[in-house]
Amino acid sequence: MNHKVVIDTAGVFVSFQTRDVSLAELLRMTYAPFLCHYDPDYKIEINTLPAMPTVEKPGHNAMPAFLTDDHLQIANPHVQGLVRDSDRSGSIDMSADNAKESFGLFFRLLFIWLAGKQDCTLIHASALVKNGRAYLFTGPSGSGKTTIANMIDNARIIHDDHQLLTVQEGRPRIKTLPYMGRDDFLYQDQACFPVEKVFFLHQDSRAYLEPTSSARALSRILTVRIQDTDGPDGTCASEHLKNSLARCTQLVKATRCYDLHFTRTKLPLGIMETA
Amino acid sequence: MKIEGTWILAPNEACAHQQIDDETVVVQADRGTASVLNTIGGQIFSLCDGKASVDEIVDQLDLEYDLEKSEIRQQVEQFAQDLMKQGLIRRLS
Repeated sequence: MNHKVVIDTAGVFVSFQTRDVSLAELLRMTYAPFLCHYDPDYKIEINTLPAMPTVEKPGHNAMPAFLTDDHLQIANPHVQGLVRDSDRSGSIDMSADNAKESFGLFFRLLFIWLAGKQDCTLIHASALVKNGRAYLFTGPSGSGKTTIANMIDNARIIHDDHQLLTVQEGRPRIKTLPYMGRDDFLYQDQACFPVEKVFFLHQDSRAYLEPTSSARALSRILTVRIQDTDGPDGTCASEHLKNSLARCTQLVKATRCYDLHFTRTKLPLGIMETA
Repeated sequence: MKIEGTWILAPNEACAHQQIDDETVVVQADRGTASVLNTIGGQIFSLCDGKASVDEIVDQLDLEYDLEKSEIRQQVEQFAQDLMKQGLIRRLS
């Protein structure tokens, strides 16, 4: 008997079907706020296996995942499969062990793939909203994104780890994430905020702020983004990469970008207001 | 590795690039890196388009810069070597 779980995935309704009742229950529990009963846009069959076969490298670039406009292919030691856009369906095999993590990895790639189809790019940053405008704080893991988000008063955290970047009417905006594959989403309302400033984080012995060039800002955002979303876990096809590049370019060209040096207890004064 | 004048160089397939102001950002999805090239670096990278030979790139830059052609050639070859080492460009033929 097939169990069906439909999840709102970046605004796309995806039906996951499995014979594994415990997996179905796990998905219902993990993604409870995002379950829906609409007709699905995509149907994906999940097979849980006691042991996974040897990984075969997908695509032509020997990476564990491959995203194109037409398909998403993954060949991780714990999860393998293919989702096609042409018939909006797919099938994945995953290890019955650590099912939550294996599905989470696949779901994260699916989220990135579907977000890209909706003119959005996922970037690795924390974001605050103040007076209706978004402020992004980015840097490698451990650079202090969450710390900074919690240090600033009178601002609301959108999400402390990932943001969905889109461009509307030529202006870069951050969309709130209904789901990121983790339990730490903070802002569940659907909303979209224009980006005011981007900060690149540096933990330092003193606190100061300095403007950075658009090109350097772009390279930093992309390095963090690629390592986080396209590197170890999956490589984007050139078209996907170019679209992300174009969106991130619009972000840095339309937004003031700064290197933000801070200590664990001190931020430069007035970083939200600094011109 | 010596870069020959007849070589035709092209961007690596896993790369995408974007010029912003007078700098060029080259993204490498397969290595998880993004590099910033200055004006002349970005110009050389753009001229490695899979069509022009190294000799033709040197000729093009010779028209634009007031330098000895031998110096331009040396800089192009050195920079092309660096780009190849970083995997940003490859030899087509």
